[in-house]
Amino acid sequence: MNNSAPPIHILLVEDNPGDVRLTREALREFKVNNLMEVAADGMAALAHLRREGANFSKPRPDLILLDLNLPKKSGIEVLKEIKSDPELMSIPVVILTTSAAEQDVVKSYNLHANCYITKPVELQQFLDVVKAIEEFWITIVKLPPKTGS
Amino acid sequence: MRLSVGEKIGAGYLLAIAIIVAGWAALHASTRRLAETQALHAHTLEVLDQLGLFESAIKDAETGVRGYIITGQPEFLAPYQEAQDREEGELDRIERLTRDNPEQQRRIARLRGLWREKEKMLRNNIETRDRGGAAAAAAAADLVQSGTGNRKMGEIRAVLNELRREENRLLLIRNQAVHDDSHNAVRLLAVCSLAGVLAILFAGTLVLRDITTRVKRLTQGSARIGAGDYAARIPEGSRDELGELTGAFNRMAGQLGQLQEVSRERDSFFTLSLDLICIAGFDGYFKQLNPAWAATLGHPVAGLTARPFIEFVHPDDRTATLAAAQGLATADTLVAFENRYRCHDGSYRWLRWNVRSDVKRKLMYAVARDVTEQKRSAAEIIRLNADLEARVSLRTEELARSNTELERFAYVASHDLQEPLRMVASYLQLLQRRYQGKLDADADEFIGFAVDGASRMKALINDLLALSRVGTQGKAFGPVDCGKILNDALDDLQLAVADSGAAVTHDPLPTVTGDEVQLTRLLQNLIGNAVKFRGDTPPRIHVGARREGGDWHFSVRDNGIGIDPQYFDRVFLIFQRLHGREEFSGTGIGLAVCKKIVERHRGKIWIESRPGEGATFHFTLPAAGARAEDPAASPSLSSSPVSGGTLP
Repeated sequence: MNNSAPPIHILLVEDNPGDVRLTREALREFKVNNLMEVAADGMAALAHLRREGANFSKPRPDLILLDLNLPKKSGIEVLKEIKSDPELMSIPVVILTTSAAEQDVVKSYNLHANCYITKPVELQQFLDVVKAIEEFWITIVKLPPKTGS
Repeated sequence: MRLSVGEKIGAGYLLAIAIIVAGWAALHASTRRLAETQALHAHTLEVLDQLGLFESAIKDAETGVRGYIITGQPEFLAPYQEAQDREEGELDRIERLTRDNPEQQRRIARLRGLWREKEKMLRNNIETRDRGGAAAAAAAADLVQSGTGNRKMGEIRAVLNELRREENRLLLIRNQAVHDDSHNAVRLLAVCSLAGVLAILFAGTLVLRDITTRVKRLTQGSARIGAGDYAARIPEGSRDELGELTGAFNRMAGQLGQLQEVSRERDSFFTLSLDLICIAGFDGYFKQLNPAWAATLGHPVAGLTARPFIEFVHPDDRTATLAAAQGLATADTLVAFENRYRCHDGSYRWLRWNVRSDVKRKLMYAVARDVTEQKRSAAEIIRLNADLEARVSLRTEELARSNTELERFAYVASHDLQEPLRMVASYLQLLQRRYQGKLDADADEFIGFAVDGASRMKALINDLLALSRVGTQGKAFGPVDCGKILNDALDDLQLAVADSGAAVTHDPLPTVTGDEVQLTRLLQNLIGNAVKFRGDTPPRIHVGARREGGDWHFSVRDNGIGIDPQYFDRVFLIFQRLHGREEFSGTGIGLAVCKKIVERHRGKIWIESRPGEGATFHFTLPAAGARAEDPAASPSLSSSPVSGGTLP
C-alpha cells in the first residue's frame, strides 16, 4: 500500500451490511490508501455530506458509491439533491445497485449520475467491478480540487 | 253467320234494289219492243200509201192514153210516160218494204206481171193510134171498148186489195201488240217495286227480331250479373257487334267473378288473420277492426270503435303514439312502432305496428302484432346477457388481474430474491476463496454443494425473471426481418454451434409483425435446443417458413435425439426437464419462454417428433402488413449473407 499520499475518501451509501462488508473486502485488496465511510440510508448520506449534527467533522468525499434502493430517502432523491447542490455537484457519483431496470438507468443519467453499474452476482466479478471503479475514478480520472474542506 | 247487323241490313237493301232494278230493266225492254212495233206500224202505213200511189198512177196512165186515142193529142200521153218511168221503182220499194213477208212478195210479183201486161196493152193502143188515121182511131177505140183493158185493171185492183188487206191485218195485230206490251211493262214495274219493298220489310223485320231477341238476352244476362251472379254467361250467337258486346259482357262477368273471389279471399284474410288488422281515420277513431283485436285485447270490436283509439293506449305511450299518428299525416309509412294497449281486464299488451297511410282519404291501414311475450323474453335475454357479460368480464378481469399479479409476483420475487441470493453466493464464494483447504475435507465438500446450489438457484431466478419479462417487459410490435434475427440468434449461439459442428440452413425468411428481441430469443432457444439435444452425428438444423393465410408457419427441424410424443405437452411447462442434469444442463425454462413468446404474438407452437428421429418445432406468427402479401414477391424477404446458405 502506498501510505505517503493523503487517503482517498469514499462515501458508500448502502443499507445492506453484506454489501458494505463485501465492498470493504474488495477495497482492502486495493492498492490506494482509502478511507471508506458508510451511510445506511438517504437521510444519513445527505447529513454526512452536509456535515449536519454529529457529522460536522466529516471530510468531503472524493467519490460517492450510491445504491438506489434505500430506506427513508431513495438513491434517486439523494442523487437529485447532490447534483443540485453547488457544494456537492462536482463529486463523482457512481450508482452501484442490483437494479438493471432501464428506467433506473435513464433516470440516473438524467440526474447527472457519473456512471451506472449493476452489481454482479458473482463474487469475483463484484470484486473486479469495485476494483475497476477505484482504478478509474481514483487513479485515472483527474478530479476537481477539494473545496470547502 | 258471320254478318254484322249493318251487313244484314245492307244485304236486305241490296236484294230490294236488285228486284227493283230488274223491274226497270223489264220496263226498258218492253219500251224498246214498243218502239220497234211502232216502227213496223209506220212501215205498214207507208206500204199502204205506196200501194195507193201505184194504183192512182196506173189509173192516170190509162186515162191519159184514152184521151190520146180519142184526141190524138200527145199532151194526154204525159201521165202514161210518167207511169212508165215510175211504176217499176214503186214496185221495187214496196217489195223492199215487205221483204219479211213472203206472202206479200208473191203478190207483188203477180202485181209486177199484171202491170207489165197492162203497160204493153197501153203501148199497143198508142202505137195503133199512131199508125194511122181514122181507122186507127177506130181500131183503138175498138180496143178500148173491147174491155180488155178494164179486165186487166180489175185484176190489178184485186191484187192491190189483197195487199192492202194483208197490210191492214198486220197493222191491227201490231197495234194490239204495242198495247199489250206497254201494259205488261207497267204491271212488271209495279210487281217489282212491291217485291222490293217487301224484301226490305222482310230483311228489316228479320234483323230487328234478331237484335231484339239478343238485346233481350243481353239485358237479362246483365241483370243477373248485376244481381251478383258472376257465373252467369250470355250465349254469344253471331259474331257481329252484338256478339262482341255479349263477349265483352261475359268477360266483364268473368272479371267481376274473379274480383269477387279476390275480395272474398281478402275478407277471409282480414277476418282470419292472427295479426291485428285495422283501418283508422285521421280523426283518431278506428274505422274497421278484425276479430283478432277482440281476441287479443278482450274488448268487443264495437267498444274499440266507439272511442278515440288513444284512450286504449298506455298513458306513458300516448305522446309517442300521437306523434307517430301525426307523422303519418305527412309520411306514408311507419314501421315497427311499438306501444301498449289496454286489455279489457286492465292489463296491457305490447303491440308492434306497421302502418301505411292514405293522406287523400285520411285513413291509416295498420297491422299490429302482439309482441308482449317477445318483449318479455327479449328483456329477459337482455337481462341474462348483461348478467352473463358482467360475470364474464368480472371473471376476465379477475383472471387478467391474477395473471398480472402472478407475473409481477414472479418478477418481484425473482428480482428481490436476487439480493439475498447474491449475499449467499458471494459469501459462500468468499468462504471458499479464503478457507478452501484450511478446514477439513467435509467443510470443503459442504461449501462446494452450497456454492453449487446457490448458482443453480441463481440460474432459476434468472430464467423466472426472463419468463415473467415476456409478459411484463415486452416491446411494442413492429415489422421484424426474420433473416436478420436468425443471424442475431446464431451470433449468440456462435460458440455452441461451432463446438457441435452444427449446420444451419433456412428457407427465404419473411418479415413478420412482432417483438424483435423476443423473436430473436425464440429462435435462439429453439436452435439452442436443437444443438443441445443432438445425437451422435453433428446437428443438421433447418429453419423453414411458408405462408398460410394471414400467418407465417415456421419450423425448426433437427436430426437430434427427438422427443417421445407423450412428453409433447410437458416440455412447454416451466422447469420441466426430461433428462438428468448430468446428461443435459439447463433449468427447463427455454421452451416455456418460447411458448409464452409465441402466445404473446397470438401464434401457436407445437412439436413433431419421434425418439431418435429428430424433432421439428412448429410455430406461427402473424405476417407483416397486408394479409395478401406474396412471400415470393415480397421485398421484405431476408437478403442476409446466410440466406439460403449453410452455416457451419
